[in-house]
Amino acid sequence: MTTTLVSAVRRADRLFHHVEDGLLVLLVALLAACSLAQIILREFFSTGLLWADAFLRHGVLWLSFLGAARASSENRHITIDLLPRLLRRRGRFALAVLSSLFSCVVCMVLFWASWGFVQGERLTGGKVFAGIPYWWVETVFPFSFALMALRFGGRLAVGLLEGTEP
Amino acid sequence: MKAILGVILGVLAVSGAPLFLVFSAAALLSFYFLGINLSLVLIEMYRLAANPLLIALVYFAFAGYLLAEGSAGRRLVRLATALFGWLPGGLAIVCLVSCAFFTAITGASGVTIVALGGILLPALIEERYPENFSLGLVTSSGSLGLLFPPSLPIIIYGVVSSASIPKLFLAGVLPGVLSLTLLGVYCVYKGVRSQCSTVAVTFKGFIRAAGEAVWELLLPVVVLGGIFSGFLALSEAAAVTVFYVLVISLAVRRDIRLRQLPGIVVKTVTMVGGLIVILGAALAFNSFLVDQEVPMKILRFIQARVENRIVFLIMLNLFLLVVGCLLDVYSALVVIAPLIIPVAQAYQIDLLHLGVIFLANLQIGYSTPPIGMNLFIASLRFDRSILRLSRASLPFLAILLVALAIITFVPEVSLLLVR
Repeated sequence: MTTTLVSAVRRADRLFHHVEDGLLVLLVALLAACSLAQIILREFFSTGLLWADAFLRHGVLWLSFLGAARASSENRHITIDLLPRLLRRRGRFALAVLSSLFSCVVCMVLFWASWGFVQGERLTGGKVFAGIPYWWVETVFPFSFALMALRFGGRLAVGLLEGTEP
Repeated sequence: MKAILGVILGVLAVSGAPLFLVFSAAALLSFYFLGINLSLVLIEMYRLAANPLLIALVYFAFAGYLLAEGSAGRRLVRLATALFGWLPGGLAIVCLVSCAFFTAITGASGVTIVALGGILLPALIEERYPENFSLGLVTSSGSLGLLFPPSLPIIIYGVVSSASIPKLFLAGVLPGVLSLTLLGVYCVYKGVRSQCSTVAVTFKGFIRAAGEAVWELLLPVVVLGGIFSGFLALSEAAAVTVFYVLVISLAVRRDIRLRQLPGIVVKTVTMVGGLIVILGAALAFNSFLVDQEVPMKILRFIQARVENRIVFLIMLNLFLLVVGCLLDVYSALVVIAPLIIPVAQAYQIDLLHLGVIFLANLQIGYSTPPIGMNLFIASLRFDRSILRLSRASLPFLAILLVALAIITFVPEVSLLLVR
């Protein structure tokens, strides 16, 4: 029962990784193309795209939070693992459980806070560029925090079920 | 209550919990205790989207990972050998120069040891350099290009301090050269003492090696030429770098295949994303600190005790060395720099000079226990214990400390090129 559950979670995560890869590659390609287009337009045609600057800045925001969500799944966040290095297996396991639990809880609170943030922005309105409302681009916050909470939670659950470090 | 929570967060921070979540939790808790709506934390994080410089981090890191994945490192080592191989201690100097160059063009993203260490360490040992010397050299060389453009930590300092990043790039050059020169002298001494063999160098061989590495050699010309001619903004120069490296690796060298690209993009984005969210969380926490006038309090506290600039600089260095040992370079920059900058300015320390001091200190921190990224990477790469590697790095750290002292007390080293 638990093993099928674990493998189902893993399969779902792997499947989602493909979608995520595609999204990240597309976003990087769009940003790079946009930057290059801006240089060419300015230097050779003395013109430019009005929305390009805002697009690039928000694109990086998306990239960063989606990247952080991806890092949560691969355990590639910037961390200081001083204590775990000093401890034996059992202590390391306890710390890993604790820090996954902490990460999951903080992400849930951040999700909740960002949900409120986006709702507030929806009411006040305003457009970033090309008629896109602010709250649309800001949905990356609740989305990525929810994803991170799920991933930390998933790692925690799998770790506890299998008795391995999450 | 607040003190207990602070201690718990501190313990979690050293237990391997993601630092961006530790900083976020600190921000959330402090906003909560002030009775401020928690969604304001997000407003602070959203300030990331107001910064046009962050995209340069993505581009430079991507170009760096592309270069690391290809065979650029090997060509650089060959060229450096053709240049310096004849010197006593030649191979050690080759190691210094090629690592520094590679670290610089890959934005100091931590790939140098992985990409070059595997070639350099066996070569050093084969030429009869003592094993400890070789290990220490390769380990501490992993962060040597930190002061050269376009290193990501320099850009982060520029973002945090709002100092001009092109000027910071210039300010880092001479201090970087100074550190390399001092280390080079030590390498020559070691090379002579251990009677290591030297490599015969011919002019023809040099021309051939330079021809092979010509695209890599032109890279700094493209980046820096674009920025300093005023032709390109920083983020644009970074975008041009990406296209330049893509064309070279996919079309000219063909050492990277098209289907490898998605993997490299994902690797870049997880690294840079992890970095930028730390900056975002630190922005939120720092806004709390500023609201509580913490920087002002620190300033008053220090001004009441330290009257002279020299004493302040000594204390600053000691403090930053400890910080460099405990925190990774990025967290140290985004959390500590905003607190120190107003204090340093009260002591009339130039913002650019301060940046160089910061980076020179944190560069040493890369190779010091307990949190030295170089040590971890080298330990994985060479399968040696961290303790052994940190002992082997000690002489190199001592030399870097001498360089640090010169950099700190002779501001001209940093400011000469800027003026």
